[in-house]
Amino acid sequence: MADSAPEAGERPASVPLDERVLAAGTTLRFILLLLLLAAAGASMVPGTVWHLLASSETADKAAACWLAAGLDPGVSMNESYVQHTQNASALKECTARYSQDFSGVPLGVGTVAIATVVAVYWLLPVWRTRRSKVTPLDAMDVHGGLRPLLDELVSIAGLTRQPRFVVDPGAASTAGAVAFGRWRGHTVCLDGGLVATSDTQRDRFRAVVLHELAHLRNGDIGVTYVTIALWRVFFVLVLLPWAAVGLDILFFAGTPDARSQFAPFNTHDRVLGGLIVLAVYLTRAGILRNREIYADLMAARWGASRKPWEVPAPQRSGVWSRLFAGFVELWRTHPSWALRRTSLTDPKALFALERLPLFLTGLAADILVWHLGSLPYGLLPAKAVLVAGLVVGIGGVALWRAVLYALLTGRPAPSGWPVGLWLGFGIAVGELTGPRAAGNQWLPAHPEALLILVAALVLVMTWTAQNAEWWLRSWRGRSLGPAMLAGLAAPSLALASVLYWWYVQGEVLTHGWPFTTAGLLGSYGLPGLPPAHIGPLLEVVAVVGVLPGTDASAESLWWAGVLLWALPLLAPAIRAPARRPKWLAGALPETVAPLAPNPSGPGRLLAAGLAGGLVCWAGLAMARAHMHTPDPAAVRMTGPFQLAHLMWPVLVICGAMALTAAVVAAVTDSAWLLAGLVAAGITALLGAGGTYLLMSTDGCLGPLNTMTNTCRWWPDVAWPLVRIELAYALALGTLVAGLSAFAGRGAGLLWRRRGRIGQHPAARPTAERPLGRVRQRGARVAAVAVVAVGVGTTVLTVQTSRSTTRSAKPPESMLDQSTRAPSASMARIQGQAWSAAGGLDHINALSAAAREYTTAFEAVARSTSDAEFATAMGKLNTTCAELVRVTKRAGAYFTVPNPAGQQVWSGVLTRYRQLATACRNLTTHPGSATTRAATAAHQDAAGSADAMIHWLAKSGAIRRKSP
Amino acid sequence: MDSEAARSGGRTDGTPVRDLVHDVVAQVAPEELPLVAGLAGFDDATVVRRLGGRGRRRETLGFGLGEVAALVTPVVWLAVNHAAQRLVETGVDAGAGKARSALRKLLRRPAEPVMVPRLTREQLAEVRESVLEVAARRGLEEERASTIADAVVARLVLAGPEDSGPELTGPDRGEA
Repeated sequence: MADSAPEAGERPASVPLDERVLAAGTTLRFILLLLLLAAAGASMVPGTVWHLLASSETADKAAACWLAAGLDPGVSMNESYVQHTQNASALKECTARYSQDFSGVPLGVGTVAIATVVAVYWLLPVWRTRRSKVTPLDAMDVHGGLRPLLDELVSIAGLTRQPRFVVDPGAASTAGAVAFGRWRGHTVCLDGGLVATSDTQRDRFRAVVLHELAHLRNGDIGVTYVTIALWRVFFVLVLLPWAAVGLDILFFAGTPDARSQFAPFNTHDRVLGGLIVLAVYLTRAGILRNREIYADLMAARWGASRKPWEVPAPQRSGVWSRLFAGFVELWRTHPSWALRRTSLTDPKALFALERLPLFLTGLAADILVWHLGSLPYGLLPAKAVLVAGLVVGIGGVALWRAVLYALLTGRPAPSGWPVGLWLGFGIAVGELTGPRAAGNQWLPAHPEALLILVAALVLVMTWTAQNAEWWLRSWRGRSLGPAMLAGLAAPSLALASVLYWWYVQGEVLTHGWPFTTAGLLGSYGLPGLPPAHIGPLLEVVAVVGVLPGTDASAESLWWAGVLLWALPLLAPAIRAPARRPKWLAGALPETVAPLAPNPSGPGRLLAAGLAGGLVCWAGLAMARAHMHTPDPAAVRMTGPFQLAHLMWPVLVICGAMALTAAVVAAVTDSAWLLAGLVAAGITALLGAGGTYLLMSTDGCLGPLNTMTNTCRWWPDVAWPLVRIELAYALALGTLVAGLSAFAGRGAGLLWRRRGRIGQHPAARPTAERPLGRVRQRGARVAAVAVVAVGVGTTVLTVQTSRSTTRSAKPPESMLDQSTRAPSASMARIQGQAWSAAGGLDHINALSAAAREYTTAFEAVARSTSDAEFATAMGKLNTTCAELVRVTKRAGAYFTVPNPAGQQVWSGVLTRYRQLATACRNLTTHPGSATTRAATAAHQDAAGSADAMIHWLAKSGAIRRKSP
Repeated sequence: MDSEAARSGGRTDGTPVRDLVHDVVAQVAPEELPLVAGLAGFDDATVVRRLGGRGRRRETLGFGLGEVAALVTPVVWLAVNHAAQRLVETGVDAGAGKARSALRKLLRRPAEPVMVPRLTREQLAEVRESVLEVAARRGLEEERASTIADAVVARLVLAGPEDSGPELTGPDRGEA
């Protein structure tokens, strides 16, 4: 193939569409990998170090704390959380007592690992250019022709820094080359075969060298070799020891009982760690395959002949053979020659949506989330933004490129939802494989809850695709970068708000619904909540209260929902370019006309939003009529009424948004989601405005009055309520509207498919009739005004809602507190743990204090002089204080997990408190009555302690010493 | 290079393989002389190991071309080295040679160049066969292979007496 002589005057490969028209997204994918490795290292090293250094006896005690607190490793995380809250302070104290801190060691290991990464990164080029491997170019340039040729190629490539050229003469049978190095110092190593044939195969020599120089120019070297260095060090220093420790934990360490108790969690943890290998290998190979095509195209652009790419592909027959070849291809760092060759004339591979990278992105992001689990609570919003930015960034860049390619080649634009589906699939697989959702179960009880994340991703990716199309059609700048950046930032933030909700609240749903309606209503902190009778409205309100978008604090990112309709509305508001925009001229010089403008103009969207607003106002009026009462003073201060008064408008606005979005999506052909969301957004603004007016004029509205019958202007009363409602409507409403748009779209398609059967083509719905020039301008101005009002209102709401919190009540008050009784064996283990983690120590301390008391008491009785009496009384006083102290400490210890045992234990505490009191009385008022009382209290206390020991022995928590 | 071999103080009889390769390549494929010049920096064992191994394929950020170049240099070097090694192994001083090589490695002295001793007619025929065999294995055309084999034999025959000179009368001439 490549050995034949080159054709004279062959034209370099022509590239119709400049693949650099949009960012490739490579950096984001590398960043995801680097973050994944760094976070996994930071979480795995401490675990490994702890397992190797911790004393197993102390570790057992620390584990016993959890069991003694009543936690059952076999129950779901929700139940476990409820159990945890019941003994929280005792658990904290107990685990602190048995904690083993080795934080210095992981820090040291981490430092060594980082130093090793730097060393490997630094030394890799040194090792690859060692004297027994390569020769300097000049030693081989015997005819003196190679150096000028390479200088010419470097100048064609426009490299500011001359790379170092070396030759691997041992690679005499191959005619390739390879580039490597560090951020700045680059080396290109030419194969001996390439140099030996540089005269006879000049075109091949140029193509190969230009390809390598393209890697340098594209900045592939630094980040590739950082990843390689990090991966190698991570694999050897972190992953292998961690895996070995994992095998020990799963199969050898501790008793078989203890191993099986935590086997699900440990297995999930290790399997997820193993998936890192898969994610890193496949992702890196995928990125590198793309980089090869970029380098090929660049080389072709610099005048490389296409001949060297004409490598015959092996013929494969049979399905299995092709499948196997496809599987092997996934692990290779180079695409097939057929693909590389095709890409030289049509770089569609660089604009294609591939499922595997999307799946791997979702998976890697989910593994990253697991390893970022130890971040402090305050950093949750940052974590959500980071993960959402990476996932939407990687999927979104791919979508923007695919949409652009489709528009420029006249193909239908991708719909976006499959991208969301594959990203979501990756996240779901990560959640199900790892311990985040399942905890210490083999599978979470309700894995279907993960569909919430998948739905959120489908929503934002569909939005991204449609928004990309709108903006590509109307963008007139020199570069598409700013448009894409904004088009990715908005869905990233919107997804981040859902992820934040998921981390804080939503993920418990994978174990079922943990809340009680009464608990949820009670958490509003209003008087009279929960009421004795909870009606359907309050049932709905209770559920709405835990949905995404209902946390009004700025860091919950609820405001990002507004961007989902404000940003797209700006695109049709911009006047479509009349001539070829600058970015298009650069990307595809052959084009002369701009892309066709958006079919949906702002006028139609505004009209739809207005219609939705009218429906919303009607709904609000009906709701107020429903709430109207002749005597508002009697009901307005009760919690249920206040809540209904607050939430009715929210429900109406969200309902109107959903309806508007569904109808608009059903009747719109292109960008139905954007059209639906924009119309719903305008509906929300009008609805919120209407609510403000209605509340401010309360008292003047006759049958629509709710809180008062006094007619006057009440802006100060209305605004705080409208502010809360706005947050709900703009955040929750946008999500609901988005999902409704999907439903509306589905229904619309079904309806149209039925309607079309037997219908004349001319009867199909026609495109929007163009408005007159003046009206067009008016519609554009109105659209910009709506965006300004929407964004302005949101900013105002965010700034003023910072201090509002829903309730000061602890979150566990919302939870279902009922827990199942543990199994008999678990009950015994918990009893043993209760005794071992400190229960027995407390009983012994109580008994010892009682004995000291007896001794002191007898000394008082034996005293024969005043001096002896005074001394003995002093001692008795001390023992009283000791009794008070040990009883108090025992009281702060865990309750006994078993209810029967707890009854005995609380008896012990009561008796000892009584003894302490009797002791105090005896010292302050010595006399026969106090002496009798103290003696009786002492007998009761001693008896109760014996009863406790007896119960513990009977239940198997302790073994009595044989006499 | 002969003088270098002589300076090494070891086996000075015969022709160093690398000289022979240089001469043959200069005659048959002069465009490959840069490759021979590059290989000159390595000792014989390294050259043979590197030339005999599989070429690089699809290295990270490499161009990705597999084995495409059927060159003369590896054929000549591998075939002649193979023949020379075989002759040495059948010789009386095989054990001594290995011991010497190990000692040099220990003392970090440059490895001794492999020499082709003066060959008998049969041995020359063997070398020719060896060249043809390696050439076929590495994808060279038959006619080309034949030309190379002839050049190798010619070089061995013609250069022999000059190179061996009066010094080549020692006990281990490798003719055993």
